[in-house]
Amino acid sequence: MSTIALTAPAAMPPAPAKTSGYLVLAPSCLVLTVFFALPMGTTIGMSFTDGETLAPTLAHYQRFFSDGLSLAGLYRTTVMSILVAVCVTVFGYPVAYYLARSRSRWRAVVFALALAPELAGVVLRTYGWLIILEDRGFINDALLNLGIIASPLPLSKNLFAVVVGLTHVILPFGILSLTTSIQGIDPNLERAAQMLGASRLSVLRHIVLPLSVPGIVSSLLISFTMAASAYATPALLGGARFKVLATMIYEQVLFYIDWRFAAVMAIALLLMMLTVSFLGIRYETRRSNRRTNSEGVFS
Amino acid sequence: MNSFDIELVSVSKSFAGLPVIQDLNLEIPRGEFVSILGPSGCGKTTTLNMIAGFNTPSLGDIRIRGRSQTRVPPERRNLGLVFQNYALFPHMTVADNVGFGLRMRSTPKAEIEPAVQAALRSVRLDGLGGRYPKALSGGQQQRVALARAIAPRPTVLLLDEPLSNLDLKLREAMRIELKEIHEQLGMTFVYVTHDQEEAMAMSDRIVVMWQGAIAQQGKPDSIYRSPATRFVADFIGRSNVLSVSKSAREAPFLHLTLEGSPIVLRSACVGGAQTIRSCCIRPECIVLLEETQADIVGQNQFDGVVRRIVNLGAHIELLVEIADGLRLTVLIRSGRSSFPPEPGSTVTLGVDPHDVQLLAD
Amino acid sequence: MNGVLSCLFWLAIGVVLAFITLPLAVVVAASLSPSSTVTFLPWDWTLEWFGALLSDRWLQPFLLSFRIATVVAAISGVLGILAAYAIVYEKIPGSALIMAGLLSPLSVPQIVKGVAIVLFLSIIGLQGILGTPALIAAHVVLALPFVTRMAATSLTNFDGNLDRAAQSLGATKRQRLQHIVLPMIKPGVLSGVTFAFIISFNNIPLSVFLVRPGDTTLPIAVINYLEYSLDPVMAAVNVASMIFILTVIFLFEKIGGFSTQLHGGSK
Repeated sequence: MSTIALTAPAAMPPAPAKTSGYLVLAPSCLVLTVFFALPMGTTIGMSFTDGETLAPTLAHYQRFFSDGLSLAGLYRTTVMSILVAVCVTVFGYPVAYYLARSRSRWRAVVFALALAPELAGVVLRTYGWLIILEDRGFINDALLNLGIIASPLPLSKNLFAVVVGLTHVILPFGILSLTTSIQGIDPNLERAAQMLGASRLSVLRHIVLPLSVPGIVSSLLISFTMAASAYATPALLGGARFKVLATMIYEQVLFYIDWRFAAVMAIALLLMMLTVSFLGIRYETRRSNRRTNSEGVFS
Repeated sequence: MNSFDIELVSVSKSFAGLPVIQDLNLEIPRGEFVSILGPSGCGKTTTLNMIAGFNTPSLGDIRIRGRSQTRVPPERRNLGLVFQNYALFPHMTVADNVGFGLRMRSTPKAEIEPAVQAALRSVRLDGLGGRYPKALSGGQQQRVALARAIAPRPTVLLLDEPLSNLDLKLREAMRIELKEIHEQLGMTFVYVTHDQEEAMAMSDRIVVMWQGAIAQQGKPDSIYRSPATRFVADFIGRSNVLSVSKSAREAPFLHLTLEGSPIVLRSACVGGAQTIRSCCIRPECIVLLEETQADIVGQNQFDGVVRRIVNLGAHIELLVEIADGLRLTVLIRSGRSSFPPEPGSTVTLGVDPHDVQLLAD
Repeated sequence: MNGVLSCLFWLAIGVVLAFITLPLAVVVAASLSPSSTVTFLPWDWTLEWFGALLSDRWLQPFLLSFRIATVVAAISGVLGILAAYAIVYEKIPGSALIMAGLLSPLSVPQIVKGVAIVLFLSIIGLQGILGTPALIAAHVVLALPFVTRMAATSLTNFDGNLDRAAQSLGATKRQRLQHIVLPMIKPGVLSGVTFAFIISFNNIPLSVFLVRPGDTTLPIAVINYLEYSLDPVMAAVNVASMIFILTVIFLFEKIGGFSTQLHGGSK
């Protein structure tokens, strides 16, 4: 390349194209800088500065980690996200297995049923769960009328309701990620195991489950991060009685007008998600490293 | 107890109303190496899947060692299967792959280890048990698949085009090796392939399938020498299939008039069919004569014009037009031909009446 | 053993599908139910709750959401195509890094992006743009990475030989972009734009910080109302907005589907 450039300086790359390339990129960069990069920088900066003097301080973080309410929020967010991740993956797995393996015409129906609700929007689905789980909702109504219970069961405004609602919202994403992973497993492996005398349960235990671990991990990660950052569902189904970081950030900004504390909470949430994503990436690189190492034995 | 390992009794199979297998009857004797040979879509894979238990016949019965297996799931049939893509478990070592069948049968741990070693030794992979399948070459993976299938000592070993992913050299070496393993184990092998050379090279018996039915079965040699139908003649080896317009018996020969020409062929073969509509001649059975030789009794002789010459190295292929639109492919050995024919030249062809095979359709 | 397992398998699928469809069915039933408590009487239904939607209370938020989503889809569509063009087609130096930068908003939760924008605007004294301008900007930040990624994928899958063939036939760069490249990536871009419209129209976590009181988008109006009441008007609003979204998808699919057919025919 460089020799050509030396001997034939006339053959220059078309410079105007490159310049126009950057020009064309400018609007996107501008928008993302002004409305994403600068706000994020500001938020981080605010979390480390004093509100009055603008001097650098860790006081807001100290307050966050010594405040019972915010620690409780952090704890609730974590528990809720773990439960949602587990529910999504456990419930999504059979459907994903069916979608990955079935060749019947019902597959399209199951696919549509499993994924179409995603188009309905979060509010509609959360509203549906509100009607079902409310104190005067569908389930309690039915149970009261049948005389099974004397007073409404506490089905809403708690961890249970939020986990149910979020599982419902996130399930399609979990199913998609698991389906892709299971589709990557050669169906002949299952048949080979069967030919070698493995029952369905053994095939599941020794072949399908171990080979879909990457899909299970990615489903857990996606579900966890989506649950931790969800706002509308915890706000409606958890209400004032079950506050998570996302709803607490909103309160800090709009009710308490404590911007710096809101910034700290936002950064805590962001760090929590980045940690989980980082763990996922590390798992993935370790896995591919192991694969290249075993190839190395051969060469 | 009869001596058949596998029997298919009037088996039919249709998918979504489309018949794939129609009234198939097949008996596979114990210890034989049987190839099921046919082009793609002929039903050979469906047949294999029904024997293995992945497909249930729509009609008919499948028996293994005399016992009906139609309702038995694959894992209870005690058959081995070698897959085209090997289907080695990527998360298990070679030894764990080979030992899988024994573990599933709850074989005591102390017995698994030696059995695995023995299976690996029989495919000449001793010492590779600790590796993962990804770290092996294609040929080695293929041997692991074989070892895994034979380790639990199945009644019958099914092989589904196991060599088709290997390169030509390796494939040819594996043919010999497979045959040796078969002889060593004395196990029944059912080998599904579309490659007639492979089937020819290894089988005790070939079952040629076409359009969901058996077109012909027999020893490789007899199938090649006397194909029963146009399809078999065409599919196995190369042949000149000729339509016959009229036939008449004139002992010891049958006289066949070729369609669209006055040429009459003498055949020494006896056909079962009432009316004969076609016959076939293998290209290598046609000889080039330097001049008309009246002294060979009964030999078919006719003149033709050489239309095309293809040099295949060891052989030369000639396309000779013996009548309007009637061309024969002739295969002659290269060096021996002292008179390399020129395109456009006239040659005399000779065919022994024993080499004119009668076809059923 | 196998029988038990396969029974469990089908049971699990049935239960999960029922779980997925239940709340949707409940909302549709509620929107048609004549009593103000939610009951299921398939022979007794009404459309009166949908009538209530024509009041300003719901029409104003709907129109605001619609306007914002349209502008967001247009802006992120254009910017996304331009960015993908620069990165994939022009292959400008450092394109991998630039792409990572353009996609980086995806790794930040929406609620964090929302709070960051509102804090930033307050600090620099631009609270005045809260409402429509801030909503549009924030939604573009949200949608742009998706659209860029979809357009970039289309461009990556685009067979460069088609471009070289057109070039050998004498097409100038402008002509090639217009007649070859754009038509080929249109389906990908259209689905990106549809997606941008939907995520803007349905958005809550960003909008919740940026709306002006009394002039809110539809989803925000709905969640505000849900704090006090679960009455069937809510069900009607939700069902209507779902029908609206499905219509939008259908319309875009029609445009996209037409070009996909052309696409398939030319192969």
